[in-house]
Amino acid sequence: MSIKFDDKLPIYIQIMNYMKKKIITGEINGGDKLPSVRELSTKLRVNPNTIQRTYQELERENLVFTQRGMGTFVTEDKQIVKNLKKDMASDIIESFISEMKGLGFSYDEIAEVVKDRTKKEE
Amino acid sequence: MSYILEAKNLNKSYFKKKALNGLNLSIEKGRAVGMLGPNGSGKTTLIKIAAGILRQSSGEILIDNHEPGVYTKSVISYLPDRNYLPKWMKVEDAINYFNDFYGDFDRNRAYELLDFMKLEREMKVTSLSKGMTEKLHLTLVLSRKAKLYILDEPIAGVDPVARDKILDAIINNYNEDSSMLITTHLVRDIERVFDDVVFINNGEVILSGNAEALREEKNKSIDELYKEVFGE
Amino acid sequence: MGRLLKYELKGSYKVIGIILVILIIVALGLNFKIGEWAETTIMGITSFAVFGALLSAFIYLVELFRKELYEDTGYLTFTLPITGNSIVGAKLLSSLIWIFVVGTIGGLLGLLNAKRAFGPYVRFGSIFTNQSFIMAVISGVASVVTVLLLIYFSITISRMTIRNKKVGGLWFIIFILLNVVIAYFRIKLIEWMPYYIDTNSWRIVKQGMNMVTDININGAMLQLSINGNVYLNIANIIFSIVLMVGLFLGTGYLLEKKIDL
Repeated sequence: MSIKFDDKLPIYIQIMNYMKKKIITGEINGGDKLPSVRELSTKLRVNPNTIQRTYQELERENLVFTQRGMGTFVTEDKQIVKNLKKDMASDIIESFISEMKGLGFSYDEIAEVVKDRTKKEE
Repeated sequence: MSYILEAKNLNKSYFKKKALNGLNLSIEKGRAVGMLGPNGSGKTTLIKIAAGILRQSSGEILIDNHEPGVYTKSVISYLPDRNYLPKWMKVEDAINYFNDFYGDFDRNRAYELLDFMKLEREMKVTSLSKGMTEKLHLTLVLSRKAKLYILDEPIAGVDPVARDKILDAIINNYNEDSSMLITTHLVRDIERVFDDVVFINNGEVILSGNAEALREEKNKSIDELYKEVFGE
Repeated sequence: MGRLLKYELKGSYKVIGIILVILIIVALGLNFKIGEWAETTIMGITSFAVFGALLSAFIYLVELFRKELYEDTGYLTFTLPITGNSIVGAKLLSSLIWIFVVGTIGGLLGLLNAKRAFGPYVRFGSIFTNQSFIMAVISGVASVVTVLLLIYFSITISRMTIRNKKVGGLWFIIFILLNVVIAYFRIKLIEWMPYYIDTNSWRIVKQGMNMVTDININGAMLQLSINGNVYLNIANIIFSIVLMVGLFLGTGYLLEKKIDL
């Protein structure tokens, strides 16, 4: 596990995003146990308080839950994970669209370009 | 709020210069604080006063509510930016020395750290490279269960491999009953270790705050913030 | 203080050892030359060697103290959770131990060579119980202690005032000055309080200086001899003790509370 940190953003947010990606792609499955605060802080070379905060925020978003004495686990609620995927995607889509508009593309043109591009990948 | 270190209006003047100019600093229990500033900014002066080997000209400093003295030396584990081990010592001698004088020294932890740092007990202190020396000093300092760890430039002049080991050891050492005060001018490698940061120049605090909050607020890494604060 | 003493001895035994080895080699070498060379030459060089060894040891030990204040190892010693008095005590005691060791070995070697060189002319059985020998020893020890403490004090004062270690000779000037002041004070003191202990009768007497045949000022004890009777000045003895204690505690206080590294 390694993250390339861009220290402009608060570290805990970066770690959260990293974890979220792993949850969405299924690399970390529902019910899996996340590394302990200490383990993760050592692996990433980050202050343990930062990891603590990451887990707290993830818990606030209902993505993980903590069982006292056992550790922190990913939620088994598949709906939450689906919603997360949609949310993270929509952020990307929003910024993609606004950047394309900035280049002068109309909505139709944007849809065309995306259709062509994705057809190629099939 | 109990502070492990409290400096109020600290001043230190020498013949030609004023090293500390009304400096205020408070460190809570369980926090890792980075003290950032260029050479000559007053970081080392403050640290030496806290460690009890320098006297302030005026102002107050308390460690665990005591003035610097025999008690505070027993609860502070200090890593100076010097080769402070006698030249006749081997690594084993240094371990024994710390064990003899510090009640909170954990010999087993020291041996673990020595292994981690790949240092041998029979090595003579004079035969160690700069990186190995720094690792040995850190081993000695972190093997104590102190209330306040003061590390003066722990990664300066050290090769990247040793630097990583040192950072690992520092992070591993973290616990909620102790605090750490770390000075550095090499911010990029170490900024993720800090809870709070204090920017100091010309003997006074220019900026301080929670590291993550500062990142969010200024939209910069602490390293970039450092360059901005101290840049030309 | 015992812990620090242990490490002081550990840190210095090698150099002392070298001094002793050289001394022993020279002295024994001379021992083999007895018969070849003149007795006076043998004894002369032996004395010189013993003196040299003692002086070297002394200079080395003083330098160790100075280094503690001026070089990086001070960062280790002065951050230990111990009092300044512990530090002074450990330094003083370790120095005294080595001086005693070198002095004793040197003395024995000297006697060895003297015995072989001069043979039947040398008798020393009774010396050790002689009263004046014992007083000389006590007085000698007190002198050495006083000198060491005075040097430590001077070095400490010097460190407090000048930050630049290149001006390292300042302590010597302070040392000389203090010596002069103390000597002057001693003389004034015995003029002012001419009360002595008569070492024959062990009674306190008052003495003028008119019948004095021999004055012996050796730092700690002021002895007057009048027709073979030795008198010790009481005020001076008290002063010497007070001075030693004062220098010890003073240095300890400065090291603990006033030193800026």
